[in-house]
Amino acid sequence: MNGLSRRTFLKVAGAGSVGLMLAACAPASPGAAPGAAGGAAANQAIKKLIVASFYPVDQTAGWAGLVDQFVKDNPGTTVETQVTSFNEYLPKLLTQIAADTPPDVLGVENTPFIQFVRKNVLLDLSPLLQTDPAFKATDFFPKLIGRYTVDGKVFGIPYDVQPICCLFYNKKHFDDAKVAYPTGEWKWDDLLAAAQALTKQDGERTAQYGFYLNETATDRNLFVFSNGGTVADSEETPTKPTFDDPKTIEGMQFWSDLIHKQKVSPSPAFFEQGGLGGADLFATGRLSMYVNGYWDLVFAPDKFAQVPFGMQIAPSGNDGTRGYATGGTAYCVSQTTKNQDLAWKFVKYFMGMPGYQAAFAAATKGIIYPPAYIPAYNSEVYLKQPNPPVENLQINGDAAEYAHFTPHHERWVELRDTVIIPETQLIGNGEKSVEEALGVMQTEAAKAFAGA
Amino acid sequence: MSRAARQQALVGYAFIAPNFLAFLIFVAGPVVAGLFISFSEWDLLSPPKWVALQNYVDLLTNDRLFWLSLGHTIYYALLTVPAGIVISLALALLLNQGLFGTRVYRTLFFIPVVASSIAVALVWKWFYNGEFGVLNWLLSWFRIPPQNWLTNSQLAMPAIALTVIWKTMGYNMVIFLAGLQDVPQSLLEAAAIDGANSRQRFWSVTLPLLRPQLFFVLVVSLIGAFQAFDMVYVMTAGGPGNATLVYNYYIWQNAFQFFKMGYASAMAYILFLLIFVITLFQVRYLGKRAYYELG
Amino acid sequence: MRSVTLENEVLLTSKVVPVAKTNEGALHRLNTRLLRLLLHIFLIVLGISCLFPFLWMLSTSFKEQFQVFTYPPQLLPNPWTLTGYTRIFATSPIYNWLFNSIFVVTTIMFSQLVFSSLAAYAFARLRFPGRDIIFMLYLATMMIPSQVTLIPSYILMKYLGWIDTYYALIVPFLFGSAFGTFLLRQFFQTIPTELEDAARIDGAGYLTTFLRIILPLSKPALATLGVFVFLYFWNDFLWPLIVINTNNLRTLPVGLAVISRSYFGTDWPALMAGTVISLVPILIIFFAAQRYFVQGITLTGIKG
Repeated sequence: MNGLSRRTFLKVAGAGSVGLMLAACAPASPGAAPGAAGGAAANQAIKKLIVASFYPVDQTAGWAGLVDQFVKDNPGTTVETQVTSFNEYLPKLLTQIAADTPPDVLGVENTPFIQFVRKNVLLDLSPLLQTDPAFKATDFFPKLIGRYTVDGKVFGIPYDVQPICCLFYNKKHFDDAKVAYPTGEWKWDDLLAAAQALTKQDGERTAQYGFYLNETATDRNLFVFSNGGTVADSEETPTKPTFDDPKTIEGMQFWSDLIHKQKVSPSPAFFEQGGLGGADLFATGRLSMYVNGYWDLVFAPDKFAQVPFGMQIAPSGNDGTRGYATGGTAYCVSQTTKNQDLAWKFVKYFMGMPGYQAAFAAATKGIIYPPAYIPAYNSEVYLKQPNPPVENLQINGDAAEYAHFTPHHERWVELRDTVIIPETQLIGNGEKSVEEALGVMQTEAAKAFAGA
Repeated sequence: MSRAARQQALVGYAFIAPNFLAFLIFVAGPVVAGLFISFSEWDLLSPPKWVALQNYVDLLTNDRLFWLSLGHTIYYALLTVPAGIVISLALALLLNQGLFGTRVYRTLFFIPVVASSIAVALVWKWFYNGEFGVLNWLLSWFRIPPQNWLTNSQLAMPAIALTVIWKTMGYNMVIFLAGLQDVPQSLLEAAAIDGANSRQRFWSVTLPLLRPQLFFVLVVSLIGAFQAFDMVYVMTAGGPGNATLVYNYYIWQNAFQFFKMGYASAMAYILFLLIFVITLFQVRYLGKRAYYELG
Repeated sequence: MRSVTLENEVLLTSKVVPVAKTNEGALHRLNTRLLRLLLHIFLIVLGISCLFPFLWMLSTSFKEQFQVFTYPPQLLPNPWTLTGYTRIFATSPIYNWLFNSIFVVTTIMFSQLVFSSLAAYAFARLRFPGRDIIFMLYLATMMIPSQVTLIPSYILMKYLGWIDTYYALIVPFLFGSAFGTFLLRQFFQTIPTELEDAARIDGAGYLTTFLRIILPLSKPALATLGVFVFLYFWNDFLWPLIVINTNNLRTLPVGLAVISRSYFGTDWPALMAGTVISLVPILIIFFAAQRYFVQGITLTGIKG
C-alpha cells in the first residue's frame, strides 16, 4: 500500500525545522519603542530602560509620544514599555521579580505596595527628590505622596489623584423631576432625598434608579469614611482592625438601606464588579446618579454620549465630615536597577509636565487622569484645559485632602480578597446583615493581624 | 536480552528521545522545582525560605478557605460531570438516528468547544447579568422573575456549571457518537428479535458496549473539573462571598496576589495527589471492565 | 460465533418471539412523525443556543459603546458601526498579533504531530525497559495545576535567554506533549498487529513500518490531534502573557486582553471585534478538518 513515503515524512519534519530556523532568525525583541536616536555617541553603550504599567490604551498612546521625546532628549538610550492588562499585571510583575529580571521603572498599586517596600524591592527616592527644585516631594498632593512614604522615606511617586469622589448625575433626569442639581455642600440626607425623587417604578421593574455606589467594599466605602468610620486603628501603621467601629457599621448600614430599604439603588448583585458597573447603567439612561472615580470619564467618553451629565463632589456625612476612599498607583524604581539615573530621569519626565502633556495630546478628547503632580494638575492639561469635558474639575484635588487609603498591612490584600470583598458582596445581595458581615470581617482580620 | 530485543529497545529509546528529553527539561524540571517550592515560604519578592512540611500542615489544619474551596470544587464536579455525561450521551443517541440534518447539528453542537474559555465566559457573563442579561429577558416571557445568576450564592455555581456543560457537551457527544458506530447493528436486531423494547436494548446492549467511551469521558471530565479555573476567573472571581471559590482559583490567589507561592505550591501537590488517587481508583475498578472483544 | 460478554444474560436465551407487524400502523406512523418533529424542534433550539452567543459577539462588535447594554437586549446594532474594529486596528498591532499566533501555533502543531507520533508508536508497540514507568510519569504531570510550574518555567526561560522571543513560545512545546502522546498511543494500539507483522516479515525496519503502515492509517487520529493542539495553543493566554513583553511579539489573545480589558472598564465592541477576528482561523481549521476530525474521534478507539 502506498504509505507515507520517507520523502513526505521528511518534508513535514523539514517544515518544522524551517519553522525553527525562522524563529531563530526572527528579531529577538522588536521593541515597542524606537531605538536610540541617530547620532548616538559611538562609544556609549545603549542603555535600556524597562518600564512596566497596566494603563489602558489611551495612556499607551501617550506613552509612545513621551518615549519618543525622552529618547530624543537622552541620546544613547532606548526605552521598552511593557503594558499588561490589569488583572494579570501583578502576576507578571511578580514573575519577573522572582526571576531577578525586574523592570527598572514599575507601577505598584497602593495596596500591595507595603509588601514591596518591606521586602526591599524598591529604591528609596528621597535623596533623589532633593536634587531638582522642579520635582520635589512637596510638588505632590500631601496625602498621596504620604501614602508611598514609609518610615520617612519616599518609595513611590503617585501618578494620579483620583479619589472616589465624583458624583456623576443625569441633568435631564433632574430637570424632569424638578430636583435641584447636586451642590458641593450636599450631605447624606440631600442625596437620599434626591435619589428618592428620582427613582421611578414601572410596574414591578424599576425603570429608573436614583443612585449607585460603585466601590462598595467596607474598606473603600464612601459612606464609611464620610461618617468618620475606620477599618483599622491607623492607616500607616495598623495594629488592630476596627470593623466593629459603630461609625463604620452605621455607614455600611446607610449604604445597605439605600439598596434594600429605600430601594433607590440597584444592588451590586445586579451587575458584576469591574467591567460592568454604574457607568453602564448610567449610559443607558436608567440611573440618575452614581459615584465613582474620574477614570470612568477618561476611559470611555463615548459611553456617555447620549447622556447630558454633570459632575459634583460626592456628599459629606450629615455632620459635614468628608472622607473619600482613594486608590491609585505609584511609580517606583527597582532597587537593583543598573540605570538609576536614567530611571529617575524617566520618572521625572513621565510624572512631571512632559508626561502629562504627552498624555493630554494623545488622549481621546484630551481627557486624562488628573495628575498628582500639582503644577501639572493646575495647568492646561487638567484644571485649565480649554474644553473641559465636564464642570467642577477641581473636586479631585479638593477631595485629596480627605483621602483614605487601605491600611498598610502586609496581609491586607489577602484580607480584601478573602474576607472584605466577599462579605460585602453578601451585604449587597441581601444574604447577610451588616452586623453579621462586619463581624466576620473583624474576626478574620484580627486573626490575620495576630499572624495566624 | 536477545539481540532482537536489544535492537527493539534501542529503537524505542530513539523514537521517544526528542519527546522525552523535552519532557524532562520543560515539564518534569518545573514540576520538581514546584515540589521544592511547596516546602518553602516564598513571597516572590525575596528568596524562598525552607519550611519543610509547614505549608501542608497549615493548609490542612488552619485554613478554612482550603476546605471551602475543596468542597466547592467537589460540588462543581458533581454538577458538571454527571449532567455533562448524560446530556452528551443523550445528544449522541439522538443524532445517531439518522435524522435529517445530523451533520449540521453535529457541527453546531461542537462550535462552543472551539471558542476560547475566556471569550465564552465573557459572553455568558453578560447573558447571566441580572440587569441587562438576555436570560432574564427570555425568562420574563415565561413570567419568571429576574434572577441574579452570578451574584446569588445559591445560583452562581450552578450558573457556571451550566456554561461549562454547554461548552463541553459537543466534545463528549462526538466521542459517544463514535462509540455508537461500533455497536453492531446485528446485535441490536438480535435483541429486538428476542423481544427487547428500545429501552431494554439501550440498557443491555448499547450502554455496556459504550463502556470504554464512558470511562474515558469520566476520567477526563473529572480531571478537568478538579482543575477548573478559567470560567471562575472571568465570571465571578470566586464570589459572591466566596461561593464559587474553587480550588485552583484559591491557588492562583495565593500564588500571585497574596505573596504565598510556597503555600500555593503545596495546595497544587495536594490536588495532584487527590486526582492521582481518584484516577487510579477509576482505572482499577472501571478500567478492567472497559475492554470488550468483539470477535 | 461472536463472543460478547453482556450484562443481561436474558438476551442470550433462545426465546424467539416473532415481531408482530400489527396495525398500530397509522397511529404508529403519526406518533413517529410527531416524535421526529419534536426531536427536530428540540435539536434546533439547542443548536440555536449554541450559535447564539457567537451571534451576540458578532453583533456587539458592530455596536457603539453606549448601545451594548440596553434593555430589552437588542440583537441588531442600531446604528451599525465599524468603530469597534477600527479601534482595534488603529490602536494596536493586530496584524503582528495575528501573524505571531498563526506562526507559533502552526509550527507547534506540525512539529508535535511528528514527534508525538514517533513517541506514541514506541509506547504502543515497542518494548524497552522503563516504558510503562515513563508513560505513567507523562500522565502524572498532566494532573499538576499549571500555576505552580509557571515561575520555575519562566526562570528556565530566563536562563536560556529566551524571554521575549519566539523560542519561549515555541520550543518548550515543539517535541510533543503528554496529552498528544497519550492520545496517539491509544489509537495506535487499536491497529491490528497483523499488518505490522507482515511488514516485518517482508524485512521492513521499525521506521519504515511506522512511516508506511502506521501513519497512513492514522490520518484521522493525526487530524484530531492537530485540531486539539491548534485549539489549545491558539487560545493559550497565561504563558504568552508572562514570557512576552514586547507588544509586537504578542499573540492574539494576550494582545486583545491588554487593550480592551482594562481596570477602568471594558471596551466591549472592540473586545468582541477582536474575539471575532480570533475565531476566524480556528473555525477555518475546524471546518477543514471536519471530515477527518469526527471520523478521527471515532477511530481513536478509546478502548482503554
